[in-house]
Amino acid sequence: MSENEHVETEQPGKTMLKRMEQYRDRWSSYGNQTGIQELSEGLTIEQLQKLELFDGIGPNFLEKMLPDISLALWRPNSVLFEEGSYIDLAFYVVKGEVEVSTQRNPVHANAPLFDSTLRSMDVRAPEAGQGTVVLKRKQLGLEFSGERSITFLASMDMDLPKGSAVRLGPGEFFGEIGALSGWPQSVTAVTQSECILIQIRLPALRILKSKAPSVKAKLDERYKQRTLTHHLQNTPLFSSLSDRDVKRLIDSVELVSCEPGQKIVGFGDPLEALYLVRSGFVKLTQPFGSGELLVSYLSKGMSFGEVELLVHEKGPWTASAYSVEYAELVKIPLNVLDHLLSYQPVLEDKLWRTSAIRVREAGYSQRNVLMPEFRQLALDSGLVQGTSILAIDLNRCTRCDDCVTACASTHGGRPRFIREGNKVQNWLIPKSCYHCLDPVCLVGCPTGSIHRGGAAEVIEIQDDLCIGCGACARNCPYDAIVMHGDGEKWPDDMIPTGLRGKDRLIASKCDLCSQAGHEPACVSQCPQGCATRVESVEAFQTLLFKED
Amino acid sequence: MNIRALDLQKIGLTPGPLTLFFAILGLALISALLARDVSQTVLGAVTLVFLFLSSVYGVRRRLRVVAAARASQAAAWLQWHWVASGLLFFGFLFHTQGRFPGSALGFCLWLVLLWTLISGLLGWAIQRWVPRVLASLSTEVLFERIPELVTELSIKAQKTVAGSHPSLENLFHRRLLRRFQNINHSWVFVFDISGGLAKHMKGLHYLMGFLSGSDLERGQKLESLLKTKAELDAHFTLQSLLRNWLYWHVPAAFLLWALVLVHLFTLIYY
Ligand code: SF4
Ligand code: SF4
Ligand code: SF4
Repeated sequence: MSENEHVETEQPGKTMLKRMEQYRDRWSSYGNQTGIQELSEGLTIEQLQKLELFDGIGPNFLEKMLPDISLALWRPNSVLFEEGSYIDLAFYVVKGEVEVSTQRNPVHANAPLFDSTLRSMDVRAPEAGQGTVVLKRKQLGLEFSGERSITFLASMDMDLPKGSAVRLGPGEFFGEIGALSGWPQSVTAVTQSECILIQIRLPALRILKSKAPSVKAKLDERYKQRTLTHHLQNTPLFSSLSDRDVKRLIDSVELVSCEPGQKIVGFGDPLEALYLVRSGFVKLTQPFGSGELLVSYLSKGMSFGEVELLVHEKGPWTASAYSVEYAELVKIPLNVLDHLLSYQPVLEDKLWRTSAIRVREAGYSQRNVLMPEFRQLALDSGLVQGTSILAIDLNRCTRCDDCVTACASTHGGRPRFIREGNKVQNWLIPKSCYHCLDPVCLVGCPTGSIHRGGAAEVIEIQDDLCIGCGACARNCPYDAIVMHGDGEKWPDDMIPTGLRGKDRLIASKCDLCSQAGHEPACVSQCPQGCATRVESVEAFQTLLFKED
Repeated sequence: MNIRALDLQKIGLTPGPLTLFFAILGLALISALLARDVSQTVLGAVTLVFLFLSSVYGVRRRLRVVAAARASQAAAWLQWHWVASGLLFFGFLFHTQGRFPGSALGFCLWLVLLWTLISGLLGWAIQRWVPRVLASLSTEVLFERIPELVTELSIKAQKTVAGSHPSLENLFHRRLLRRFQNINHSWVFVFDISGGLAKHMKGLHYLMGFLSGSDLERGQKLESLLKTKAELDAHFTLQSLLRNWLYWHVPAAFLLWALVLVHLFTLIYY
């Protein structure tokens, strides 16, 4: 099918209408002013095959992708997403025009696809840390009052100057970078005319990237054109480079996409590049006895290879690197880096500083075996994802369960956690939602019941939208969502029909007490003051190893 | 004074309430010395206020919805509970002018008050000590789960030895099975957190010296199951202690209130 060709949509039937209703809710978490006019119930493999985007993908993979692809007809002047909002899907323009801009524009005829009140976000200046963006709920309003511009590493879909806009027409693909990296959008997208868009959710997007080399190449090229300049300039390591140097860098780097658990480099392999993490997590391990010792894990904005480059003077890799989950990396060849280092002493200085941190971490891990153990646990149990981790100091906890009871009291008698979980030294980490940076529980909810309250806001479940399908509970890798009955049965006109007359289930999880409107009761109601919420795994690590 | 400003992140009294405590105590002492005829009624009323303040924490704890919705810090309220209880004791001393009460009612009041305070102090000590001991164990369990975990462990242990060397099976059935099947609620754990595990393992260790191959592996697994079982027993005993001391404290507090009300009634009536 040519990109300009009109895509036929059938007249919606009863089931389709009901699904559309659910999808409406899904697309605009709040309200019914959504700009979607029509939404296809599901496309066929043949329909997908006609689109250039899916060229080279076999029918098997297309079939797997089908549930996560839909075709939508949007009204003109509808907001697809706003700056700062989270989306788990990308858009492909079949017909019409979409304007993408960096200026937030609150006055639109139709409600935004995803609500994005920017009231709770804090961006750590790139220089302050390792270049990662840190979201702190409590300080949000503060940071965003005023005219501050926002930059989220690796989430830029467009490298646009503030206040400018571009128009995207048929054949353009956008939104994928934010969706793949799990970070807020840095642009606002508004339909300029009636638009037909293919909407591709995260699982399908991942298949698309890994199974269609041509698509990956296209996406990577687009990422290089649209975003990489901004990404590199906002990474502490390269922030001092001139535009010309950045351009040269971009021309020579390779973008690497990793599957979970993929080996990126091996201990002892010859060093050929420095890697920069764009999204996801990477763990570094070193041989230790007969096994491997986890010496460090790296997140967005961090790099590896500098120790071998500087300390070991281009010696072989002193650690193996594995992606922990889906990770996106930038591979910078050694010769390019060499060239830059020859006239950029600031860059060398920064690389030395990062090397010192890595060497210290490796040394510490070998001296204190609890540290690598904790790091492994943090990776395995998802703590690295956490932005609000409940932790209980067992040295002071009298096991009175007041924390659990307080949670139950403020949530209709149903607690959102129990005092069971991983024990690390004297700390217990109960299985209460970590409020992940990349909340995979959001992927696949057919009604949008589980959503973020806003950009960088808590992930919560809207009971009246929950149809009890259990997708979120299955998707959460950390068992933080529980399905339970609410004493009701599904009505006789329920669609899907299979649910009719069956017990109604509802998903529940910690919402940080946001719906109750007060600070976390589990923390405030602990009489011993030993329950606390930590905002990141690093903060937790500090808590554990503060004596050292 | 802002109650929420009382920070109980660290255990022990922070300077704020301590200062207040000693200030009130000092004032009461000075006024009692200066005016020997300080009205007993005034002192009694002050003591009653302290009794009321010391009871607020318990009442608040029971009205959970209110407490959680207000989201004030429970830790700060607990701190006030301690401070008010200390003041109550001294208030009572002044009210009775340090004399041992002659009447039966007065005697009962003294006795019950002392009982309540001492049980509270004991509870305070238990709450400081037991959590540290429990945290040193490798397992952390919910009290309610212990019986079901014990059953599971017992089944695992039986499966482990089934079909093993006859002497291992024999030892297990004669000496160890009972340990696995019942929760060992013993005071031993108060003094020795291992519950004398080394003694119970002696036979098994001795036998393991003669075992090899899969039998030795089974012996080792049994050893680790025994350790876990001992930890579950320790949890059961010490978590019971953490829960049960309240039965010595709370009913006494209720009785104290009842006696105080009778005391007030007699004062007003006569
Ligand atoms: S429910 Fe699970 S996946 Fe979702 S934010 Fe919480 S811990 Fe993360
Ligand atoms: S923050 Fe609120 S909802 Fe979450 S576990 Fe604590 S009390 Fe429950
Ligand atoms: S309220 Fe505090 S002391 Fe009680 S069980 Fe919870 S964390 Fe422990």
